[in-house]
Amino acid sequence: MVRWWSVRLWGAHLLALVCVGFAAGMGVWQYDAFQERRAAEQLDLTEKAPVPITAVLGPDDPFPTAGLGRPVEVHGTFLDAGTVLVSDRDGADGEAGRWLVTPLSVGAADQPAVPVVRGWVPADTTIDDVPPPPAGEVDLTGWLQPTEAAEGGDTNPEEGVIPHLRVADLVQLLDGQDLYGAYVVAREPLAVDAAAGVDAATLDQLPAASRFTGLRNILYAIEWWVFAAFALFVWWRHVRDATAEPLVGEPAGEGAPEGAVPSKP
Amino acid sequence: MTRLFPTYRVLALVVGVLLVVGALGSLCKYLLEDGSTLQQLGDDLTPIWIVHGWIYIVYVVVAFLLSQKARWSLPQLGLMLVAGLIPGLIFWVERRVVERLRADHPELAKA
Repeated sequence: MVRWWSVRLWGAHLLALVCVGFAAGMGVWQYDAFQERRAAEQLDLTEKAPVPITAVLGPDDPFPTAGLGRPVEVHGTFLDAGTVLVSDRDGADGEAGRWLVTPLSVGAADQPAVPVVRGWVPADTTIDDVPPPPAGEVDLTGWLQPTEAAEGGDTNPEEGVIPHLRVADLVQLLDGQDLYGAYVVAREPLAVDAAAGVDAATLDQLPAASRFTGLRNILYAIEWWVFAAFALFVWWRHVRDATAEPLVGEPAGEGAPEGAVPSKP
Repeated sequence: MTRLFPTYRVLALVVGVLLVVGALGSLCKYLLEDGSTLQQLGDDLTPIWIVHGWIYIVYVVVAFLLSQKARWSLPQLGLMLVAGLIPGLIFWVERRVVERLRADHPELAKA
C-alpha cells in the first residue's frame, strides 16, 4: 500500500510544486503588469514642470510608467527628411485633421532623434503644403507619449501620410538614424509654423486609447492561474489513485486509472 | 457515446495551426528589421497568443479526460500537453494518439 508520503510519490509532489509555483508566479507577474498599465493610464503628469527628455528616458529605453504625458524639454535639430502627416486627428471641434510630425535629433544632428508633433493641420493638407521645419538648433517643450501601436494596416496610400505615429514607420524615412521609442507633442507650435497657419496639437486629439494591452495581461494572468489549478487537480488525482486501496476483484496495481497501466503503443 | 475523441482531434489541429502561425509571427516580429512589412505583419499577429492560450486550456482539459478514459500513463498525458506548446510537435503526437487509441480502445476511437 502506497501512502502519500511514500518515496514513490516524491517525484510527483516535487513536479506538482514546480508546476503550480511556476504557473501561479507567471499569473502574478502578468497581473502586476496589468495593474501597472492601469496605473499608468490614470496618472496625469501633464501639468508637471518640464524636465529634459534625457532625464526621463534614453534612446533605447522602454517607455517608463512615469513618462506618459510628462512635459519634457528637447533641444536639437529637425530632420526634415522624416516629416510626415499622421491622419485621423480630430481637432477641438471635431473637424477632421492631421498631425504634422518631424523628428528632432536630441543634441547634435547625428544623435538619436525623437519624433515631434509640430502641430495640427486640416485634413486636406498634403505633405507638399506643410512649411519646412526651422533650420538650426531649436528648443521646445512638449508632452511625452509612447510610440503608437499599429492597429490595422496603412489604408491610406497617400504619400507622406501614415495612420499611426509609430516610430518604426519613421525609421524607414531616416536612413540609419536611431529613434527614441516615444514621441513629443509640442505644447505650442513653433513661430514659423504658427505663421504658416499650423495650430497647436493637443493630447485630446489622440485616438481613443486602446484597452487591448491591459486586457491582454489580465487574460494571460487568468490563464496562468487556470493552469496552476489544473496542475493541482492532476496532482491530487494522481496521489488519490496511487494511494487508493486496490478494488476487490481487481489485481493489485491496476486500480489506478492513470499512472499504473502504461499501455503499449 | 462520447464525442471526446473527435473533439480532441479538432482541438489538436486548431492548437497546432495557431501555434505554428503564432511562432512564425513572433519570429518575424523580433528577428526582422523594424518597419519592414513582414515585421509589422508579425506584430499584428500577436493577439494569436491569447486565442491560442484559451483554446489550449480547453485542449488540456479534453486531453486529460481522454487520457483518463483510455487509462493512459501520466507521461503520455504530459506528452499530449507539451505538444500544444512546441510548434509542430502536436501533428505527430495527434497521429500517435489516434493510433494508440485505436489499438487500446477501439470502442472510444469510433464515433
